[in-house]
Amino acid sequence: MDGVLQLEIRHRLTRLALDLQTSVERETLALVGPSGAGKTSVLRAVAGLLSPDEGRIVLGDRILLDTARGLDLSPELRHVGLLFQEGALFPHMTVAANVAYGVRRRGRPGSAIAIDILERFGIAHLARTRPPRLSGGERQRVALARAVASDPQVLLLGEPLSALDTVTKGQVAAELARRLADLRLPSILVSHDFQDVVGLATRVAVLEGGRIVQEGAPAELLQAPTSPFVAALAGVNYFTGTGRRRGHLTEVELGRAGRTILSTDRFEGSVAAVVYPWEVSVSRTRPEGSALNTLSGPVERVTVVGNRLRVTIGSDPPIVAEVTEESGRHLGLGPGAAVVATWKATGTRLMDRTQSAPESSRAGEP
Amino acid sequence: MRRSDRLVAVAFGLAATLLVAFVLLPIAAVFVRVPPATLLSQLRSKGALDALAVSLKTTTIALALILFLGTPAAYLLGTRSFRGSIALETILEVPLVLPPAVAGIALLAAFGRGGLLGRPLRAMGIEVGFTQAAVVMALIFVAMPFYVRQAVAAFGSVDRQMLAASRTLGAGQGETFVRVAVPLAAKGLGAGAALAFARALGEFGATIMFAGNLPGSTQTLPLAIYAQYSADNLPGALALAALLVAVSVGLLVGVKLILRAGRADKERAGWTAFSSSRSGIA
Repeated sequence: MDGVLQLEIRHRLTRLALDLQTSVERETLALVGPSGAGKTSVLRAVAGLLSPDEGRIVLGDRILLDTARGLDLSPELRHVGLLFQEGALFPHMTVAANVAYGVRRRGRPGSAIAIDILERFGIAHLARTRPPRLSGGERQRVALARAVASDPQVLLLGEPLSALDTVTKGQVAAELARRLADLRLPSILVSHDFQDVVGLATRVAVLEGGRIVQEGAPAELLQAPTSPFVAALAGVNYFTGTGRRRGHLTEVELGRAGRTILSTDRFEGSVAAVVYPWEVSVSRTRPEGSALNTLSGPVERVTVVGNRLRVTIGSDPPIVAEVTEESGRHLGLGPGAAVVATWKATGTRLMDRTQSAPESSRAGEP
Repeated sequence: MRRSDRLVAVAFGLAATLLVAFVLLPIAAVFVRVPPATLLSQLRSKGALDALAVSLKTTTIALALILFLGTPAAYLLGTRSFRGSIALETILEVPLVLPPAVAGIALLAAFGRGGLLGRPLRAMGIEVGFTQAAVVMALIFVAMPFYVRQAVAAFGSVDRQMLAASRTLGAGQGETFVRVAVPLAAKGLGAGAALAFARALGEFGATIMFAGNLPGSTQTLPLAIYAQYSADNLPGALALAALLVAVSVGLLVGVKLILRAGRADKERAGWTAFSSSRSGIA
């Protein structure tokens, strides 16, 4: 049970009562819920920045909090790495000084350890830069490097992606997923956006009104939401399989009767594939063109989301597509209609699922 | 409409001009009334030099104590709200609204010969009334709020996430205060310190009540001006006044520059060009 984080928190906030219990192995648990659901309070409680009314937090063989015994460790004694939405980097220090700040090991000077970590994170060239000059993605990378330098036993990430634009978001998410897998630390990630965490988390806990309403693998939540709330939060296609190079593409075998999908991302081994519904087009017959992935089956469900339709297709595996109302009407989409879902190889986003990446895989990082 | 707009603009401009003239005229008079050569020779007199030395010494000690005690107090008030925090803040602001003469007599009533703490202090062989220590106490009493107010605001505007980040990175309360909070609040602290220094340098009422007006011991520059004037030596008084004007205006301009640099810094954050030219780490 070493390194496992167990938490049990009950705390009255101004607008809701937080009441949850969960545990995190060496994996990434995403706490997802709308703003005001109490997600950030959970992180603050684990970090020691908020003292819950009642609760018990155990990290490995250390008790961080036990209200029954009047025990509440200060943040600086908890060995918890906390990452804020915009990094919270110290603006009056260089990147190197920021990273060295948290180095508490004796023996080697902090700056030497900081340089090692900056190199490992591919940001050695930013060492003397001051945080206000960094881009959003760089800021996240430095924040993670700084947290890692302090040798944390658990990582807490507060909305790491929501301050980023959509282009950067994809890159940062992929990198973060890889690093989290590398670090093998119990991690809790907080987000209001299910789609942001789907490739990052090994497990998702949906938080509503201070309680966990559903907890499971991202795919589980997507395929079997236990409430409309969870279903609304989810809503991206998520596949897992084994990646293999095929020319300049990656072929992902989904493990279902030899079904494969293609991606322009390069990954080998155990991968997760995310396909956004709005990148999937729907037609009645198999189209010709550059769209390389096809799945066919009957329409199972059509729901209206704004001025668009979400079409759930009972293919193997099932897929959700999003089309305009106009084209939905034109195609005559209704339950039972036989359709073909297609998307381009660029629409399949791959993420590493291996828990421990070998040392050599770091060589190619930027 | 247009015409009345112009009229209003002229009226506002006139009001501003009148006020500026009202301030500038006396200040100019200090320098114009007596020839510069006389001013300089008066400044070289023993009385003037003594007063300057007393002023610099007491003001510096007072400022050091204000910073030493005021900075942690302001951090507490600026970053935490607890029962009575507003009351505490208000108490620390009282000297701002108190007439200096009241401050002086109050200090005398507390620490003077027959004062509240005067007797026990005397029993211990300590007498503060009419000593240089009394000057320092009077200066701290009246100047402290100028620093504390500014410092509370400066600490209050430090991003709490920075403080939280520092704690989770293993730094305790003290280290977080020294390495993160103080540097991030430095601009405001500097401005507050300069204002407190200027206020202490010009202190008159509380000092003369509590510390007296003993040349070479408790006679500060403002007290020396009064003494020279009482002794019918107007050039001497004006010379000292000119000196105080120069120092005080210099401080005020300094504060303005510090605060403006703080704002501009946040906007462009252009430090790398400077720091990368030095041999740093890596």
